Amino acid sequence: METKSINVFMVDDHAMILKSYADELKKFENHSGIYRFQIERAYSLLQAIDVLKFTFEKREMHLVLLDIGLPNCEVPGYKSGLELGIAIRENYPKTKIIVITSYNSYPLIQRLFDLIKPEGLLLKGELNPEGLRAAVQDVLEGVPHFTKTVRKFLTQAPVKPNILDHYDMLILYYLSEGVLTKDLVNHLPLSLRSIERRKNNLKDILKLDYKSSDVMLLNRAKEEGFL
Amino acid sequence: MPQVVNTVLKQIMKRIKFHNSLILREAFYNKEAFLNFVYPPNTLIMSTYYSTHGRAFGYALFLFLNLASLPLTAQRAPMDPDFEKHLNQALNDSLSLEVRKKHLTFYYNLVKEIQDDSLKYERISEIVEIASNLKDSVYFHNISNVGHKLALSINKPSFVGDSHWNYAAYYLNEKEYERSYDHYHHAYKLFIEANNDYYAGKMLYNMAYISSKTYDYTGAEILLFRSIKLFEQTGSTLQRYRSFNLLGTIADDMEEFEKGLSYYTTAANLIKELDKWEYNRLQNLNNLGVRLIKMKQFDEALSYFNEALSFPEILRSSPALLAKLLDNRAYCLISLGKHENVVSSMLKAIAIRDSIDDTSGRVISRLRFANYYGKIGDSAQAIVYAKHARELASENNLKRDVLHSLEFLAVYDRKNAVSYLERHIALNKKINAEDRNLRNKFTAIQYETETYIRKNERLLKQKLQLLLISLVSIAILLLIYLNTRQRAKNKQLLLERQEQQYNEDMYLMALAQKSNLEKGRAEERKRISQELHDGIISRLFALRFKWQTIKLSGEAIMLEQHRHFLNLLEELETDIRNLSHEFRNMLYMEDKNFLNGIKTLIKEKSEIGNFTFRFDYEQAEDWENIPFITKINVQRFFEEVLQNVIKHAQATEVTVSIYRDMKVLIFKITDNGKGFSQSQLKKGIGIKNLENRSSKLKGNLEVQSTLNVGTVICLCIPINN
Repeated sequence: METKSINVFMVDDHAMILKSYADELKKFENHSGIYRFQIERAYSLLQAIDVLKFTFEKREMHLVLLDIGLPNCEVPGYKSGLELGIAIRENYPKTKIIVITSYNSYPLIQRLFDLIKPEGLLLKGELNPEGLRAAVQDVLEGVPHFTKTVRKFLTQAPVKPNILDHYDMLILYYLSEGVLTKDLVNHLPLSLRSIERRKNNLKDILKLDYKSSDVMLLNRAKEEGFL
Repeated sequence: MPQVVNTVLKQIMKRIKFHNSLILREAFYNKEAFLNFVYPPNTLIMSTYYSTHGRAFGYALFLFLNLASLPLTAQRAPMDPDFEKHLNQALNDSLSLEVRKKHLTFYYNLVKEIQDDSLKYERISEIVEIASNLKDSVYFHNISNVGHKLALSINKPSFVGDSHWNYAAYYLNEKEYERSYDHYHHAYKLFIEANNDYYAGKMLYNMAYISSKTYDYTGAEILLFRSIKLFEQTGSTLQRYRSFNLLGTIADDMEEFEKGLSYYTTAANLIKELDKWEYNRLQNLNNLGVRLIKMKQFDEALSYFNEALSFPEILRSSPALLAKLLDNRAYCLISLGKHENVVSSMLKAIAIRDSIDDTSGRVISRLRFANYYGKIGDSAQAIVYAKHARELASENNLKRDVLHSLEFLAVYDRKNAVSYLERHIALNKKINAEDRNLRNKFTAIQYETETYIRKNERLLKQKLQLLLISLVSIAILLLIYLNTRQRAKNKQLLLERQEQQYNEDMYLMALAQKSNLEKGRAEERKRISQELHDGIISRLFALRFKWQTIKLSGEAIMLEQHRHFLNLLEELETDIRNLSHEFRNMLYMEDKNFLNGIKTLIKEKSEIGNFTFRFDYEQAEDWENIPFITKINVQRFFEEVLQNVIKHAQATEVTVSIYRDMKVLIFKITDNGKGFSQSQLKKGIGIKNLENRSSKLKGNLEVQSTLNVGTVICLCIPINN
């Protein structure tokens, strides 16, 4: 049986996690006998950007295992793994991306699908070695692979966005992140007035009095599954 | 003959050698008088002063008193005809003394009924003045005593002074110089006290007159200069004229003839300013003549007397002066050796003097006759006249004249010359002793007066100083008081402002502290959440993941258990993740809203003030975004207004609305209370505070109030960005 050489690029700020991924891939390699994995690792966003800039050109990466929650670095335009994923997707469309993250909020999942369109999306909380192996196998075979919560989101998703647009979702998301209304202008390309208007609109949709507080708004949004 | 006189005199001089120089000088004057035998100028003054002016003077005094001390009675109350009748009768010279006394008693009894003390005193003074001429000392003393007591009870210095004056005039008439001088001196003090310089000057003049009578020329001069000073101040020319006249005679007596001439010239100049100058002019001429007689320039003296006698019209009304002039002219002629035609003049003079009862004049006329007969060598006639003169003089207590007559007798009555001389010496000694005694007393009184005046001046000065000092101190105290009060006020205001500022700062600090705390708390939460999420969960995940890759062999139950534990680990991971998320969400739980603060405030106040409220605000507005200082001031603004609503308005409904109009934030409170008027608005300190607050925010305060309808207070603050 002919073996297939696969270049894998793994990004996570925890060395132990990367070690586990690598061990599991090795095991998968031995087990299936089809794939031979050449593994490139990055332990920080800065390192990952370096790899993207220099290694990707020399050696085509077939698969990227990408963590989102990475410690911030001082490189402009890169705040988290999200921007890195976008850059890879834009520059190397053939590269398959599996996002492995511990963030499990709907808006983030929404954003990931909107901006990166990953072939695989795995939530760490639901991930085990078998899951990882299955995901890698599926993705390498051209089948998208998502963990349970993501699948649930995907089935619900078509209903909600009709009512709430992308920005509404982001407003809710940032508010839940503890961002103040007045600081939302730093995160969104919207004016304060229009943000206020959207908030009132959200309260309307969620059947809330327009004098209700942000806490009430967020609670209702959670109840309705917008968060 | 003069040689004899001179030897006699030398003898006298020897015997009185031990006397002091003053007495020697007087003896010298006596010699002058003895040799020249002129009409004594002092007596001249005396007679003009008292016989021709005495009463008129008294009336003048009375009227002046009216004017000076009692302006209210200046217009005399209409007199009862009875009063008038009795008074006129009492004044009538042609009636006998007894009849006049009777009328005066009648008048006195009527006067006693007068209620007004001042008026009563004036009348009594008038009566005393008349009584002093009635030659009844008991009667005079009775009435003057009543007058004096009344004056003392009224306790007005001018009245008491007047009473003393009456006494003094009486005693002067009685030739009791010491008493008279004492009374004048009292009167002088009192008039000075009453600020009546004119009368005070008169008193000084009279004292000077008495001094000159007792040969205290220096004392008299001093007194006269003082009186002239006073008269200059009051502008009374007549009195100045009299003073200079007396000064002139005194200077003549002291043989300082040049000085005397200058005084008489001054007096003559003053005459021109007088209304009735003729009489005084003639008197002045007489005095100048007498002066020349003393200087033994009989020719020139004669021309003065002749000039004076060329005004018979004027002299007709003053016989005493006429007699003097005639007598003096005769004396001049005799002295020049012209004995013809002098007897008729002398007889005329003696007749006039006898008819007007001019006692001293009568004595002098007789001495002149003695002199005349002595000059023409008729010793017998001379002795007769001299004896007659001596009798008259001793009858009337004219001691100097007694001396003169004794000198004549010693010269012409050779047989008894020694006894006459001895008597002369004894009398002279007695007179000198008496005069010295009197002078000492006058000096004592004078000294007393001067000390009194000095004391008065000192007291006045002290009073003035005290007044000045107290005024200045009062002014200073007042200034200090005002300054202190102003400062205290300012301090209080400053303190109040500082307190307010302090409160606000405290509030700001507390809020900033709170916000800092919250910020720190939020950051800490965020950090913990991040730590949980990125650190612990990740490691937990890595651990679990790794563990799951480990192939285990063993009993089925044990393997099952192993998987179960791994699942538990996975659940734990999820729990921590959720916890981390909740940490973040909790940041929102904090209720630190500006609007909520205001809402809470209104709610609290509505409970106190017992009113319902509505709170309108524009949700869209980002109220949290307005500057912190504005927030605080707005909060305070609402607090103050609501406090006033509770205190004064008695409102049942209050509406608070806040909104934005373009670039202006508007905070409005409307109540349905009783409202207030515009004037009340101006007084209110509450409104001022609001205005201060508004101006601090560069805002604008609008207050509209309608009585019994309500009040709208609106604070508009422009947004600056």
